[in-house]
Amino acid sequence: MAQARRAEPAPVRAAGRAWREVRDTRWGWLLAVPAVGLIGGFVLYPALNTLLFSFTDFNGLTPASWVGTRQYQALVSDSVFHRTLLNSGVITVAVTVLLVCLPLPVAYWIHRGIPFRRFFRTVLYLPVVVPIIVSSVAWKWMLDDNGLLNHGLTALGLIDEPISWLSDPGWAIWSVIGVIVWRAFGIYLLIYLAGLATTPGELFEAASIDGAGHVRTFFSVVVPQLRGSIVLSSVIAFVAAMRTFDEIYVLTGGGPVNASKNTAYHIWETAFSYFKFGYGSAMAVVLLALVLGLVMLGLRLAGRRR
Amino acid sequence: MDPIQPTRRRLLTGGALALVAGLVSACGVFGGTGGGPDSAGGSGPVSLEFWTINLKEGYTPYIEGAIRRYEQDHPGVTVKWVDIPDFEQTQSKLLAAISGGATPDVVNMTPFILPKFAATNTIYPIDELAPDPAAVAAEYTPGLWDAGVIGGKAYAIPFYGSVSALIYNTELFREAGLDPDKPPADWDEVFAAAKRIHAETGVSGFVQTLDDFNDAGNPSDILAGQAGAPLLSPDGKTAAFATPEAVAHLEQYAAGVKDGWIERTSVNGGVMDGAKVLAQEKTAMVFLGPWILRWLEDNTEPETFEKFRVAAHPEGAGGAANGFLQQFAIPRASKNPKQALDFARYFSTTTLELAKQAPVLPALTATAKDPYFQSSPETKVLVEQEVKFYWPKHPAVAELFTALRTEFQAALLGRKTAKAALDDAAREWNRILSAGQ
Repeated sequence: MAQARRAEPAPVRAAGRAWREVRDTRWGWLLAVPAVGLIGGFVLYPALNTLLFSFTDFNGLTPASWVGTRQYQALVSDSVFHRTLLNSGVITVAVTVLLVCLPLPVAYWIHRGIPFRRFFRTVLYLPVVVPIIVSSVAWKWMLDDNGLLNHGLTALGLIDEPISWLSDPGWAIWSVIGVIVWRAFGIYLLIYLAGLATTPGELFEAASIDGAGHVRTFFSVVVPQLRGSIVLSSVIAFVAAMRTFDEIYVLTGGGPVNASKNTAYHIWETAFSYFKFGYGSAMAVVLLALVLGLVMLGLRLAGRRR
Repeated sequence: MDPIQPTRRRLLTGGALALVAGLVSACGVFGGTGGGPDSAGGSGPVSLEFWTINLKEGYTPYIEGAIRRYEQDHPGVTVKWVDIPDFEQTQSKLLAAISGGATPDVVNMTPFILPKFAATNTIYPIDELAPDPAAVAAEYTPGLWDAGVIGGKAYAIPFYGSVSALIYNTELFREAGLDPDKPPADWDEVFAAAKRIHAETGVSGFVQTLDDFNDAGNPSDILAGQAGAPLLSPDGKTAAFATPEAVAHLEQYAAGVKDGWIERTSVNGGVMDGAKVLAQEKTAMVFLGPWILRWLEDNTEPETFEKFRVAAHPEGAGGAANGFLQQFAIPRASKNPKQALDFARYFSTTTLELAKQAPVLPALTATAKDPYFQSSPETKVLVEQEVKFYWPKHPAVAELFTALRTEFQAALLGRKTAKAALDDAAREWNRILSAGQ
C-alpha cells in the first residue's frame, strides 16, 4: 500500500496533501467564518465603498455621478481640511505620547504592591467604563468659563482670571486632549499591568540585589520588559487618537475658528451634515492612507529596533 | 516567531480600515424609491410611520393621545410613532431610510434640513398631494408656511414654531439701576444696557450663541434680523451680507466679548449653554424662545426663577423677530402619502395642547387666536410678534452656517476685524453657492 502511494504522480500527491490540510484544519476554517464575515461585511465592504464614493459626487439621496479625481483635487486647496490634518497630528502625537508614557510609572507603582492597589486600579479604570458622551458633557460643564475647574484654580490662587478652556483657540485643543487622556488612561494602565504580571519576579529581585533603585529598575527592567506592550499601546493610541470624535463633538464642536476640529470630525460634518459623501469619502481615503503609512512605518521601525 | 506580526495584520485589516468604515459608513445604494401619490387612499388597512424630534420625554401622553384620537376617527388607519432624539439624527436616519427604501410616512423636520430633501426631490411638494393647496396654505400663519416654500413650492406642513423673545433677570436690572419694567426695545438699547449691567454688577449683559437654533439667535439673525443686511443677493447666487451696517453691528459684538459685557460663552457655546449661564445668574439677558422657561423652571431654585421675566424681542433692522419652526414632510417613498398628509394636517391642529405644556407658537392661524395665548407674557410674545425665518432656504445651509460661524468666532475673538471676517465669509459663501451640491 505504501509502495502504491509512492508510485502516485506528483500532482495527485499534492492534491491529496492539500485536501488533508483542509481536512485537518476544517474546524479552524469553520470557526473563522463568522469573524471573516463580520470583517468583510462591516469593514472591508464599507471601506471599498468609501473608496468608490470618493470618485463620485454621491450625496446619499440621488444617483451618484462619476467625477474622477475631482474630489481629491479639491482637497489640495481646502484650507479647512489642511487645518484639520494639522489638528489631527497635534492630537495624535500628544495623546499617543501621553497615553504611552504616563501610565508606565503608575503601572510600575501599582505593581510594586502599594497599599490600596485595587482601589487605585479601579479608580484609574473608572473613566473607561463611563460612556464617552456622559463624561464629555460633565467635562464641558467643568471646563466652562464659570465651571468647576476655574472656580478651583481661582480658589487656590493659581489664576486671577478664568481661563477659557473651550472658547480660546489656544486652549481648546489641549482641553480636548486632556479629556481624551483622562478617559483612556485606564486602558493603557491595564495593558502595562498585564505585561508586568508576566515579567519574572527574579528580574526585580536581581535588580534589587544589584542595588538598583526604583528609577534604575524602571528604566533597566520595566521599560525593556514592556517593550512589546509599549509598541502595542503606541499603535492602539495612535489609531484611536486619529479617530477622535465624541470629545470634540461634545466639548467644542471643532471650534472656535476650527482650532480643535480634526479630520475625523470634518469627515463626519462633510458627509452627514453637508451630505457631501463623495468629498467626505475622499478625505477618509486620504486619512486611511496616512494612518496605514504611519502605522506601517512605526511597526517597521519598532521591528528593526528589536 | 515574531509576536508583532499578528498585531500588524490585525491593525492593517481591522484597526485602520475600521477607522474609515466608522468615519464614513457606506450607505450602499445609489438611488431611492418612490411610492407615488396615487398609491394613497386605498380601502384596505393603512399603516403610517410618524417621526417626531425629541418629544418623547415629557410629551408622550400628548402625542399618544393625539394619535389615538386620529385612529379612532379613521378606522383602518394605524400610526406607529417613532421619536428621534435630535434633528441631526433625524436627517441621518431619514437619509438611511430613503437609501434603504423604507421611509416613514410623516417626518418632523426643520427648515434647516428641509431644503436638502426638497432639492433632491425625495419629499413631496404639498401641491402634488392636496387638491387645493392654496386652501391648505391659507390655514397657516404666513411666516410659518413660507419657511417651507422652496423654489415656489411648499414642501412642508407647519407643526409648531417659536419666536425669539427677551428673557431677562429683573434683579440684575435693578442692581444696575435699570428699570425692569422697561427692557431694551432695540439693539442700541441692548448694547447700552449690557455695558451698564457689566459695569455695575460685574456679570455679563447678555449671551448670544452662534449655533443653529434660530430662535436663540445665530449668525443669520445677527446679520439679517438685527443689522438688516440681506444674506443673499436677489437672485440667491451670491452673499450680500457684508454691508457697512453688518460690519458695524459685528464690531459691537467683538467689543462686547473683549470687554466682558457679552458673555464669552457666546463664542463657542450652544443654546443650552446660554440658558445655563442665565440660570446661574452670570448674565442678565438671553434671546430665546419662551419654551426655555420650562427648562429654567426645572433647573433653578424657585426664588431664582421668579427673577426672570419675558419681553418682546428687541426690534432689529430686519423688522421681524427671528423664528424657529418644526414641520412635517412626506417622503416620496411613503406608501400612503395622501393619508400621511391628512395625518400631518390633523397633527398641526393639536398644538394648543402642546402649547399648554410648553409655550410654543401654533402654526394654524385659528389656534393662535385662542384666548389661551393672551393669558401670560410668555404666550403673548409668541402671537403678538411678527415672525420671520432669516436663514437661506438653500440645500447647503449647514455648510454656509459653519463658514459664517467660523468667521464670526474669528471676529469675536479679535483674530480678524469684523470687516475682514464678513468679507472672508462672503467669499466662502460664494464658493459654496457656486459649487452647488
